[in-house]
Amino acid sequence: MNQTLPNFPLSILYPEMILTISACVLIFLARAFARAHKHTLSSIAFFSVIAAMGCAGSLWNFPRWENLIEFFLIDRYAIFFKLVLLVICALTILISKRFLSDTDTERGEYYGLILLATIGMMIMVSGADLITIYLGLETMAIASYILAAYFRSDERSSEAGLKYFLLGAFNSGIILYGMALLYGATGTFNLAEMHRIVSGLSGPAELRLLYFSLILLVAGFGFKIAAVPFHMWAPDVYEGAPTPVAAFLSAGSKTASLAVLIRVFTVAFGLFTELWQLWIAYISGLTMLFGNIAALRQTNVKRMLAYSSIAHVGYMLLGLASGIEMGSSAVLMYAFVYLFANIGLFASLILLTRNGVPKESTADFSGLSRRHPLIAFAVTIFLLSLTGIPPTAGFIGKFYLFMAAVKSGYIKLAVVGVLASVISLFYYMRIVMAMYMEKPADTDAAALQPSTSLGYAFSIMVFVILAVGIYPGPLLDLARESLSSIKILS
Amino acid sequence: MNLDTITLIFGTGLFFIGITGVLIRRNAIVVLMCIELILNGVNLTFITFSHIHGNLAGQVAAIFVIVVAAAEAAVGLAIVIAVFRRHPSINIDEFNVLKW
Repeated sequence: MNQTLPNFPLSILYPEMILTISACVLIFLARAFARAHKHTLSSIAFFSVIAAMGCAGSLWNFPRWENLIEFFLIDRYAIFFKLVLLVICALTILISKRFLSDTDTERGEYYGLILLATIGMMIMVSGADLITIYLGLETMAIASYILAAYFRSDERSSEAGLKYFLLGAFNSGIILYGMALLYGATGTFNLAEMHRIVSGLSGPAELRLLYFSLILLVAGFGFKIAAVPFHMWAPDVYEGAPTPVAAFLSAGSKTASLAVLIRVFTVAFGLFTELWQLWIAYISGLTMLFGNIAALRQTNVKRMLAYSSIAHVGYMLLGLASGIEMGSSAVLMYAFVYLFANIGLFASLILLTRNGVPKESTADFSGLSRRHPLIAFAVTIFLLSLTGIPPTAGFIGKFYLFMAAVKSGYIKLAVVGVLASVISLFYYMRIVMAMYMEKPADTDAAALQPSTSLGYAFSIMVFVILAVGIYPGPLLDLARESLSSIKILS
Repeated sequence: MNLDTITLIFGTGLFFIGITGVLIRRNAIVVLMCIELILNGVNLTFITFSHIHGNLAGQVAAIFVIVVAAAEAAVGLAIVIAVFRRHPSINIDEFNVLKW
């Protein structure tokens, strides 16, 4: 083991450092000048995220990305996910501003915590070592517990925070025990070294430890990404948490946990690939069916989105089950594509919220096309993308996922996936029907006018969904290239 | 039985006592304490394996876990207090505004 820190250029840590400094400024110094300059808070957060994005992007062609620090990898896989997470963070900041100023709760801590959670996710996806992964995971989790309970005076929000905390802390104990057993079997925390040692193991005691740790890690990460049967917390937390936080959690923490899941399982459990792929395949089928069927009977759109996000995790797991080569690159692409449509729908809920009074039922969407045709068009694009109808990005994502599943022999599972998408059509189209066919209950168009930041967020999301849907080539190449770096490692 | 076996069994025992407690107890504070039991069981396991393999990585991990557990407990108790202010009970069965 290396006793001294290797000589590495500091620039590989710039994205995390920028965000850390900005989060500290927001949390500690914001009190001093918050009253007078409220609007600067979100600008500080937003521009530091943009700067971090630039730094992370510039590392893409970094010459020695293979093995610079043994516990913190800067490979293309990590950079791809860092960029995705930073996009999620930036969009969350854009859609938060109006929601918070409506309820007069815009404070430095909120943006600081969003940035801290993002830092945790970025450390997670770079982690090449179980300890690094655990620390990133907890940084993310602790910040998100506070965010879920951010509206202290709202009963739903504090209840969501408590539930999220109790179940999340319980779950991190389970992940940790899995890691302890893995360490017990191999004697190392480094994933690449673990891969080497596992191939030499033959004793029954070590193999038993490995199986147990595999079970615990599947359960633990399954909880983090809200896969059935570990999904129980997700609907409650997403419904109770403040809407922008729900958007952030459903996109960000899932993407980061999925990235870690792929890295840990393909690298450390490379020898057990057939075994865990089988488990993941079963979980994926259950998740797709259950998520979509449960979403059918929801009347609250936020809760429906929670179930639909469970279902989308099922689609992504389908890709993971069908192999590293094709399947996982489809997963990477789908994670990117999914975040825009998902955050977009949460943003439309924020738009409907009036003076802090939530408008979350399907009926609140009725007649939106007459009140504000552009917003109705954007929401339709988001819904089409979630369903997977061309020419939106969601179609491309699902197409590659199902194709990977068919090619690797999971034909039944692919059929289940297509059926599940058909089911999802019903509840997504219910909102479209309400927007275009029904009369508006409330004719006040001026109240729907999006603020500048919300308007930008909407146009970015619609643009990306349509652009990727029409011209997916570059994104697919990007996803393939980022995965190739993980193969070199293993 | 040597010392490693004993501590390993002890750590596993703590972990499962904690799991059982989280699943059957209904008081939020007690659930929090059971989560601490789980983490301490994990710590013992880390340290024992560290001794068996003869490297220090496991002990380092245990120290990290202690730090994280402290942060987690601080946040958790703060959330429990915030809930308790609005709702004079910490029985988790009574939190049913959101369907559980």
